[in-house]
Amino acid sequence: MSLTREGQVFAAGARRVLQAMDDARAEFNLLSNEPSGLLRVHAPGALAAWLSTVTPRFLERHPRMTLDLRLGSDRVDPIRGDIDLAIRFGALENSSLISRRIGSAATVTCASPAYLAAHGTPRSPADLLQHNCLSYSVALAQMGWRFQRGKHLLHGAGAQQLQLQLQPGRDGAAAGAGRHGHRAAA
Amino acid sequence: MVRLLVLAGMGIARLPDYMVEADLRSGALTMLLREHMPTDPDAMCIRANGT
Repeated sequence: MSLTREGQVFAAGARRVLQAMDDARAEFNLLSNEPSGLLRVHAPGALAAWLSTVTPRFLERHPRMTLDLRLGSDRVDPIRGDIDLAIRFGALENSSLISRRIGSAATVTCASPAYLAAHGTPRSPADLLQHNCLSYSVALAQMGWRFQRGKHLLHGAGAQQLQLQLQPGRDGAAAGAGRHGHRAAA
Repeated sequence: MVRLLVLAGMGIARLPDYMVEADLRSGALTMLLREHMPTDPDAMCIRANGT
């Protein structure tokens, strides 16, 4: 049995229609699985340098996403605030929130030679009580500075003369990040 | 901002190592309490349940 000339023309046309439907379905699946839309993220200003390195990679990987990145030292609640994600240091106090550990920052305790010449050099965490200690993180300031020496956990934090509040889009932008409204296609 | 205040001699700070690496190398900042390991809170990504 063989197709007539008209049947061959019809079969070829039908195959093209079926192929076009398969292509459309594949394209639809690709688009529906790709994250898209606006993601509003709040993060401590101390992470500005780190965010400036990971943000371009994120936007390149997700070209249909728009990122609204806000930096500040205040604690923003993802339930009450107009944000989708918050990056914070420290434990979660609200059980209705979901948290995932994304890392930890290796920190160093430091001061300028001029400050140490004027105020002395602390030899133990307890000595910090006599010094002006500046925290880059609200959580760190609230928890106090903790140190470990061998198996011993030690606390030590001094008076804080300054409370720093970075304003999103101003100080944050000056720090190298700030508010990003970005589409990869732009 | 805190880094600038420490460089200006305003006090002692505990800062991420990547932030002050060059300052420590150049001598603009001095590392303190070397024998005491800082234990810092983890960085957490937080979202509302169901989002």
